[in-house]
Amino acid sequence: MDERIEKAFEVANYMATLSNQKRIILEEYNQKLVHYVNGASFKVTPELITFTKTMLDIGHTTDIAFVDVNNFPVLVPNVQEFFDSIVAIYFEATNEYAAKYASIKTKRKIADIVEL
Amino acid sequence: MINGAVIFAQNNSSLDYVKLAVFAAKQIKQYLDIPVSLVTDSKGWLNKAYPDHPFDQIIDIDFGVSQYKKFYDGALSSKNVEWKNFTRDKIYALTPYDRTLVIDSDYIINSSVLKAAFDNNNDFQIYQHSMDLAEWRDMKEFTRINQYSIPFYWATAFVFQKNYITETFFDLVAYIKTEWTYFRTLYEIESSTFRNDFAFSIAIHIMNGKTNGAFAVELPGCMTFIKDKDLLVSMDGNKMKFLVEKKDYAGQYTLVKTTGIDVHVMNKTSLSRYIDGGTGV
Repeated sequence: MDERIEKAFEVANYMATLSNQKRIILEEYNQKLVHYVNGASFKVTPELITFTKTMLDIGHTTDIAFVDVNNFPVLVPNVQEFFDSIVAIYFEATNEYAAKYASIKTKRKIADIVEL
Repeated sequence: MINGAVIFAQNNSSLDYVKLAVFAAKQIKQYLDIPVSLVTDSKGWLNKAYPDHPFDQIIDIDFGVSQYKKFYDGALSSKNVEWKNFTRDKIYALTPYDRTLVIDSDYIINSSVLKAAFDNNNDFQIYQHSMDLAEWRDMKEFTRINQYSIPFYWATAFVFQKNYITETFFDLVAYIKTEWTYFRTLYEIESSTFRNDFAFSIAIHIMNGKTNGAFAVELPGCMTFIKDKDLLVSMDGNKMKFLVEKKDYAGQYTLVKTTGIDVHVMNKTSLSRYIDGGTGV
């Protein structure tokens, strides 16, 4: 095979691996963003953080009803504690995702992307 | 309330499902820290081949009926083998736990994400959403049971608590299994092969009053899977490496790695090879 074509296929393989790996680390990130309280599940999003902060700012600090990912209502007994937890989860997961993303983005070989 | 996990394993002449179940049980104990029981028709083999197995209880079942299904081992190799999948609906009577996680022996736990399912008060939790580790593959067969029909649910992993509602659900699954020809015609399922995924999907549809009800709640996380045309390369802690088939290039693969997520390894032969010798290729 022509050397240039061979090189092109190598790059195409690298791009396919990179693209797939980006998708997988996004899923790993999404799974880390889940928070559970009183038998309810929440996906920690900037919207949830903002809403919770608003609740605190207007003085709703105890026994506030939230609606979880399955659309079930749940009473959050301590809103400040809930807020602290979701902010911690959000930053830990997002920082880890950013680090992983930065790491694979700089790799130029398939073996390096999957750490062979 | 006693929580625990149950794995089904019925050996055939080609594959030692009990070996896969022993491996899967160790992963459950490591990440979820709950007792694990085994439902099997191969109790003698378990005690002989794996005397230090991690199971809390061994639940004996009859050999039962079986069917044949084509299983791949990578993109270029396949064979028709015996497939015993007719006992899943009996889980309600068989489980020794009040709240039970049921998984297939090829579902490998690498995270504690399912722990949250035990803090959840819903009767029945199961995966509807899934992610194929091969990016290009069409997911529609795992979205609806056919193009015009009801949502697809994975019977590979689910959590239920014992009560009259879930008892009714498993009674329905048993009825669907008995009248499979009728139900597969009604729901326009092309394959005559009985699949628990389909039976569960139909039963959930009926439990929901044939609408989009709330009987089945999504399990925490996501059903991540490789198909039997892909290969497991290796595992190291909570990291797994796979070769997933390439589009239009049979026998060529793309390497992928997962960290800290549970994976349904549909290529059981590859998983078996990995357990035996540290590589599934």
